Amino acid sequence: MKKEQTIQQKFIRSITTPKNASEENPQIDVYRELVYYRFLEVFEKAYPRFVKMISSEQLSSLIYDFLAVGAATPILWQVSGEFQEFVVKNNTLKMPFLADLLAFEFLEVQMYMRKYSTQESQDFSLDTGYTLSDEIEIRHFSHPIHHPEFDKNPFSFEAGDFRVLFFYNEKNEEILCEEISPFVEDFLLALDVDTPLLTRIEQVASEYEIQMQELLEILSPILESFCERGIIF
Amino acid sequence: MQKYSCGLGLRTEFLHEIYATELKPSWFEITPENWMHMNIKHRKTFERLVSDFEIVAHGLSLSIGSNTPLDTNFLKNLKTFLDDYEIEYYSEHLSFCSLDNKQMYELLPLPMSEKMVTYLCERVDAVQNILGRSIALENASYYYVPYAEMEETEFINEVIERSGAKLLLDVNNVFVNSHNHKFDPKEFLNKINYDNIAYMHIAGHMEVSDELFVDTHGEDVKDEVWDLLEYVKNAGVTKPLLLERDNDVPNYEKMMHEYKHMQKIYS
Repeated sequence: MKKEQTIQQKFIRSITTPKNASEENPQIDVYRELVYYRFLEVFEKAYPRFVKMISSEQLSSLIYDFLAVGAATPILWQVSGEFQEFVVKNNTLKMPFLADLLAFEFLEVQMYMRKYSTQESQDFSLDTGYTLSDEIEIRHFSHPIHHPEFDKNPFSFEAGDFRVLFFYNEKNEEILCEEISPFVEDFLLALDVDTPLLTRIEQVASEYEIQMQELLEILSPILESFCERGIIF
Repeated sequence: MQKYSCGLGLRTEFLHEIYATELKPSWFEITPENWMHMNIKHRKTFERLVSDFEIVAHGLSLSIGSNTPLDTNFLKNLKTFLDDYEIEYYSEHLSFCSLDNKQMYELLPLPMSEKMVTYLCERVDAVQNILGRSIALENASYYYVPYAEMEETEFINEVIERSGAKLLLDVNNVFVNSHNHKFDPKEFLNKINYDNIAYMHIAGHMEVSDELFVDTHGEDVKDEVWDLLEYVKNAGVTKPLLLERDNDVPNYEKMMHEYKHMQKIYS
């Protein structure tokens, strides 16, 4: 099989490198185009925002560079994750928000491909202990990728520390996200099903020296909304 | 699956239209790689379909002809998927799509040699052992012959007969290959052992130029391919037949219109 393997390796090398005018072979070109457009289609679906921000020449160059390295996963949608790592590692684009943007877009893809449990809606009570759903994701970004106006002029947004909560909206079968404050993130991560919310809020009020009533007025509607959406249960 | 039964390749483009009409195919074929992880928007309908219809799985990523170890992790996940949804039949392609840990996600032509035949037989055996079911292999479309010690029909027949796998005869692929490589499709079919056929595929292709037809699955089936199907039918083949469409997928009603045409010809 040595001969066959060498033939196959040579063939793959030919179809994963950009067309070279001195080595024109229309039969090889067919495969080169089929492979290229397969990857292009997947990346356009996974990274619609990123693709709109770069030129088709830049995207083409990235795809051919990626093809030279190679994709490992046999599951097509997962190749976008490998592409993300590759683009960030070999970043030649002058986009300070590149890593955040690709991570944001691929997380959405990943979350759409997960299986979610059906949660019975619960009545919200401060006397009940809650836990954070393991079906949500909280990610930190240095750029406000989640901002609805971000794509219009991404370079105009200042960097910072943004915490974004991603969750599955069962009613519309969609993945949604919203920014949360560091305080809310810490509060959510410290939730304990054995500790009633009211007790936990009292602990936090004491720890941060905040008026209990004031904290309750801030946190109560937020937590009730999280409960309604299955983010805590 | 029954004699002359007709199936339809399941596509997400029309998945949610299926239960909105009375039009139903006898069975569906799915690409397992597209459903092993599925989009939350499709899960409920997919699971309903799997419980209502006979399903055949037609894979893309096995890469049976790669001279690199089988991806046993992928195969185990595939077996779990097939078992979970009680899918008995699984087919793949007589081709390769990855090498040295590089996935191409396209069906690439195999060198047609005795050594490759022997190698494929070993791989089929290993795959069948892991999956716990027998498999069928499709004659692939190809635009380039990387190496050939034998004719394609000889290659296909040897692999199928020696490996014990069944043949998934793709009639459109025979037509496209016959055009691109200038051979008579009927003579090709005459050399195929019809007894080894598990089921058949029919699909549309694109006439890119006078010299090149591409197996795009993106258009209606051409008349010449329907004629070739009739030729196969008249030769006594009664195996199930599936209509494939992967690109520019029309709505379900239009898809079923073509399906009805297929049924009319193949019954």
